[in-house]
Amino acid sequence: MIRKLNQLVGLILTTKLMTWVVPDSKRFIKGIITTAITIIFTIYFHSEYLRWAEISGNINLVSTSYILKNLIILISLIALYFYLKKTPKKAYAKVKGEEKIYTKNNNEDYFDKFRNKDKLKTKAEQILEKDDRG
Amino acid sequence: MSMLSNLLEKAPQSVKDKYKMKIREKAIERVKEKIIKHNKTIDDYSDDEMEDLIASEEGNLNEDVKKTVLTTLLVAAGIEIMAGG
Repeated sequence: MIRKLNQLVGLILTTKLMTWVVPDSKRFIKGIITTAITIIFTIYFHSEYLRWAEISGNINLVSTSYILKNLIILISLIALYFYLKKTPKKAYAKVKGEEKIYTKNNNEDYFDKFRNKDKLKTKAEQILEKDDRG
Repeated sequence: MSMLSNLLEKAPQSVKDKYKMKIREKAIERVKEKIIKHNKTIDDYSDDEMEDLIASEEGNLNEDVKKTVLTTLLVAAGIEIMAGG
């Protein structure tokens, strides 16, 4: 029981860590799960239909059902391919009341220069750097 | 901090970059929250001051991550010991 719980906690933590470090993985997992559910449901409904057709003896649409099933699976896979290929628009998280801190001279773009810097320096590091130069 | 730095050094470059970006973005968010809380605007800070604020928040976030990783490892080890015993 505890071992199962341990595995579950491990799985949740790994997923959490993966979605945190690689944000796109959330999108990837979502796409894969949606496609998998669609395919599983299609296969399930098709097998149910085949069973019904066999029992009732109504086999007129069996060949069409196969074409439809494979078409749905194919469309799901194509949709998944395009969904994963499409890069999501880069949007930064908004903080509540953020508009208040911006002025005419500075807007959200102001923070881009800090986003693009390789390493940011603290006040102490800045002073040390100035002393080294002097 | 050195443990986290060592761990990051071993990770692939893409993961490192994404980690850094994520931490930087979170640090900027925290700085924004601080500025809002103190009813200031961006103009009240010089670029150096802003850099210092973000760098300090980055340091705090790295510390938080380190603590979280250690706690998680300890909890996992604890559960493993309980399961084994």
